[in-house]
Amino acid sequence: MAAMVFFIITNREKKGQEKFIPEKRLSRTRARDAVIFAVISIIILFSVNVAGDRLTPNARFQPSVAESYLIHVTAYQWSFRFDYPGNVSSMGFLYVPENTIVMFNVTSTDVMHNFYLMQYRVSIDAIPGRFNVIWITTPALGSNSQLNYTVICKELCGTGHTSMEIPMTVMSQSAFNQWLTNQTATNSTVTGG
Amino acid sequence: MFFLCVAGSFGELIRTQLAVPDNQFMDAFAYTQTVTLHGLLMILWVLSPLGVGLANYIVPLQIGAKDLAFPRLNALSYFTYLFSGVLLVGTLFVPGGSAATGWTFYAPLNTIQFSPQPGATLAVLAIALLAVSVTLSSINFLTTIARNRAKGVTWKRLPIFTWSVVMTMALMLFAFPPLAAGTLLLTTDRVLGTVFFSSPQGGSILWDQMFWFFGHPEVYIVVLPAIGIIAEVFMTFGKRGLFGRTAFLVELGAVTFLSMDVYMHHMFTTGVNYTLLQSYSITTMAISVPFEGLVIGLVLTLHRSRIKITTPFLFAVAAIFTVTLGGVTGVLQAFPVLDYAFRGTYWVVGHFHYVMAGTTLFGLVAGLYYWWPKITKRMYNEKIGIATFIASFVGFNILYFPYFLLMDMPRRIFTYSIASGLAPLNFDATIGAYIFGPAFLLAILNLVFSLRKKSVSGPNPWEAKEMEWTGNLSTASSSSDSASDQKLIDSKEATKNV
Repeated sequence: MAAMVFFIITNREKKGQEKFIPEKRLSRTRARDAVIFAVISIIILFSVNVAGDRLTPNARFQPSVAESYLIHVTAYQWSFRFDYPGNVSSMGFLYVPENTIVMFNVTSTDVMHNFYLMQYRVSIDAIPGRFNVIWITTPALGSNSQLNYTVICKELCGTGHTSMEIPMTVMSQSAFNQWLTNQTATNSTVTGG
Repeated sequence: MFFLCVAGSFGELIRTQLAVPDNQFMDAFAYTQTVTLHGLLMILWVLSPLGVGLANYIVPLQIGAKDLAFPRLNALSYFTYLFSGVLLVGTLFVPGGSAATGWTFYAPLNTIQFSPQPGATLAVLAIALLAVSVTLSSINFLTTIARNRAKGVTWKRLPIFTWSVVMTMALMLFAFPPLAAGTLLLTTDRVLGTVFFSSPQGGSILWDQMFWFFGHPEVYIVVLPAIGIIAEVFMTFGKRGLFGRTAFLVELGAVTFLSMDVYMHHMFTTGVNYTLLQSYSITTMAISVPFEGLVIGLVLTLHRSRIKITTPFLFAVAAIFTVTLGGVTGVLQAFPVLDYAFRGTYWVVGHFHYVMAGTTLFGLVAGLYYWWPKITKRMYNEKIGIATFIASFVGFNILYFPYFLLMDMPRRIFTYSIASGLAPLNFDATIGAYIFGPAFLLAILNLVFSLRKKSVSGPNPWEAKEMEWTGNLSTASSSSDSASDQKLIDSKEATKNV
């Protein structure tokens, strides 16, 4: 299609030189040409589609719950709440362990939001009454102590929409587990579980 | 009356242009309201009426009819439209403000619980009224074109613009009922306390379905007349017929038909299952094929032609340019995986502004310039026309191209931090907006000021071949009574514009 812009430019310049009185001199169109055009573009489109599908198998094949770490995400006006296994929750920030398939089960308590993992460029709508699932594979930390990402809401959800941006931190397994146990401890002392 | 129709949509256009402020000096609520009204007004009250307004004047001339089949229905439709537009703008002044949901009115943000302001109810009502107006109009046009053609104007000989209007109107007839139903249900939700859209059992998705079943065809409703205009303009200023007319019409039909099968691509992230998602991805790609054919047909019309560079021609070329860019970026979003990333970001905003503000607006303005001497018997200033065109086209690209690079910026946020790194591109876009807006206003003032000129352009200044210019049925087999119809119109016009 980009070639067509080229077409316009070259064609236009040619004609600018000879502007004269009307005279119908048409080149004949053939149905065959049109069909060939259509077939070519169909082939291009579908090959891109198939290639895209092959390159991104993660989008299609949902990992099993057993092999992934499941976090329940509840969007509300205007932040996110995360419920981790073991009755631990966080509001306004997200911690995930490194080198894991993390699955998010996303819903909303009020209006429609969108849960967008910005650097991963994956998003799913948070809809009241529905549960939608997306998943990512967190990177191995290597020499870093932690990695920071951003989670934002991409669906207009009211006046606080702009402020619905929270940090996601990838932590080492041990730090993450440490945090979980700390949370469980404070939960049981403060709120009684 | 017909003239008023064009002028009305025109006034609306200017007013809307004025109603779109810059995004820095408002709070979130004001900003969201502005975004909502900008979207609604531009799409529903400016772009479609501008096309319909032109059609209102040109279609009867092109088919050799005296008028539309039901003139009073036409007036009713027009005043309903006008009233609904005024009502919508008026909602801004209702205590509590107007709707602040974005033009998509996503449920349940649109319910009384989350948008308690009465202005939002009125805005929904305005949309419902508009749907009424549109339905009346589409019935009127379809009847006119089907029944009131002059003898010899067969379906086969129907000019391209009229064909594009046929397709548009057919689409309107199918696409608007879900919107009308949706807005009525929403009104009962808001006024009578029903729970169609507020229920957590799927009200949200229900609205999505109803809205986008209308919402996607709406894009084609606004773009098809523009395509028809571009074809007419290319033919006239290229002094040749359309490249592959039959293929063009078939493609036009295919686009019309397919446009009703693609709406689900707006809902890729709502968690629909992957197979369904794939099938809508395929229809979305499929529609790009005939559309691409349309563009190729238009481009090849320039091949072996003799082009006279005029303002309408330039606007039409710009429209082709933007449709190419807007189209390519659109097809990319057909791929679900990319859609996950692009959805709700400025990439999408860039895409639909290229299609809507670029293709449609440029195309319609090309039509306005092109038919201006016909409608008003005045000729605009060509030099100023070309200058304003260049300025608005440059401004347009400075404004909207950065949007493609701003794909990390979510839509409809009213401000952003410096740390996000979004500032330079946004600043660039704002400069573009300051070029584009005034330039475009000038382009339109150029037309308005031509009204004060005494110089009367001839009946056919472009030496065009279509019937609305030649004023006779030479292209068809002219029969005496339809020729007199034609004269009747000309004399009516003359008295109207004295």
